[in-house]
Amino acid sequence: MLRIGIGGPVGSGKTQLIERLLPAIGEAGIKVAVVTNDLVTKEDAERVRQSGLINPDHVVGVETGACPHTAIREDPSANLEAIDNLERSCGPFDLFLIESGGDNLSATFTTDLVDYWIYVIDTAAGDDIPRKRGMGIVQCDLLLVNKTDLAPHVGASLQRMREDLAVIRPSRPTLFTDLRAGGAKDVFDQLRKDILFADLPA
Amino acid sequence: MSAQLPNEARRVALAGLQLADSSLPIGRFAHSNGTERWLSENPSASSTELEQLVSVSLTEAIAPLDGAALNAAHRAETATELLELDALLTAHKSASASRAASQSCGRQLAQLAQRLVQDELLTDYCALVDSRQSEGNLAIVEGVLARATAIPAEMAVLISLRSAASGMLSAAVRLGRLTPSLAQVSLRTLAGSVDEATTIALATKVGEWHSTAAELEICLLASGREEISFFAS
Repeated sequence: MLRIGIGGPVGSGKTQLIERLLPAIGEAGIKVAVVTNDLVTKEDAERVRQSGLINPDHVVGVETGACPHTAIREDPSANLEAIDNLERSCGPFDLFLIESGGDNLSATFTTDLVDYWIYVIDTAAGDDIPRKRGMGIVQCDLLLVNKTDLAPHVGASLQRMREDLAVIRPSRPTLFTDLRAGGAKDVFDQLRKDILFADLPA
Repeated sequence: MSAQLPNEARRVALAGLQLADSSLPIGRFAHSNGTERWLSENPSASSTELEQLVSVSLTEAIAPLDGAALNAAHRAETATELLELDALLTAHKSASASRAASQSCGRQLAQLAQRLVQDELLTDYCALVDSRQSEGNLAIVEGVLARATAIPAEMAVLISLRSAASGMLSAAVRLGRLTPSLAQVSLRTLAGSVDEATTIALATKVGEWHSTAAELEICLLASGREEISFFAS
């Protein structure tokens, strides 16, 4: 069973990423469950439940006591329990997607909780975000720079972001995405390569 | 010249401090145990009023139930006895939010405990918790773990009650209703209540367990029904 964490600031596209990944994951025959960490409401969990992309029983929302980063790093108990409860009620899963509540650039996942984690930022937050070298951006296994369609409207230079990220993450993958228009194929392909080892010779 | 603690006493103190540590990863931070609801119903409550809530909760609810259960678990000789105490404690918790908070944190501690100390009774009981034959209420797990690490029952109860008070104040801090420094002042002010509650817990026998802090109980019963809440309880 694999666990993938998805973190990033509020509104960067974490839930949208899950919605875009679910069809590809389903087509690959992977049994998946989703755990969301909403800050105040259970809106993200409800959104995924009602998406029609996954059995609603395979989605659970966790309340994290106003501390999103605590629940994915210092004390992942609430998430671990949610995973345990899902497996007890629905049987074993191949993959868990664990969405953090929206947080600041220093949020990271502990390996007590996940095997691999994705961090999502968006161009509308400014093209200087990578240079701030938040731990989320520096340490994640896969970085997504989302909402590339908005860049020209907010004066963000994608070229500048690419150059900065080449310095900050020289050996870790970064993808530029417009998840609203689709664009999760590259993400899924990267996941297949990194953690499902799909590119290894048989 | 100050007297030095014997080595054994230092080790016991360290074990107790670890159990009391707010960074112990058992999910306590996700629960306000009714404090969030109480604060929302009392929007102008002062820190003194919050202290009163915590004090009453300790002496009228937590000590004569969870504290007493911890003490009983500490003295238990067999896993079967612990299983019965666990079931009895669950039966005394009328609010589902209260049961969820206790069992969620207790199960996480049960998993962690097996990595902290090797003890036959602890192992046997944790196996029952893992298989869900026993509920894994926090007070029961704390009692077994305390005994396995040579923490006396009195100290274990004191630590548990102090953690409960600290957790309620911490929730108020995270909800922006109390400053962190005031929370520490309150915790210091509440030392007498924690002490009194410890005495109550140690004196309350199994057949006398009760929880009668009505205001907190009502808040716990209402927890989990709100559209908007930060905490799971």
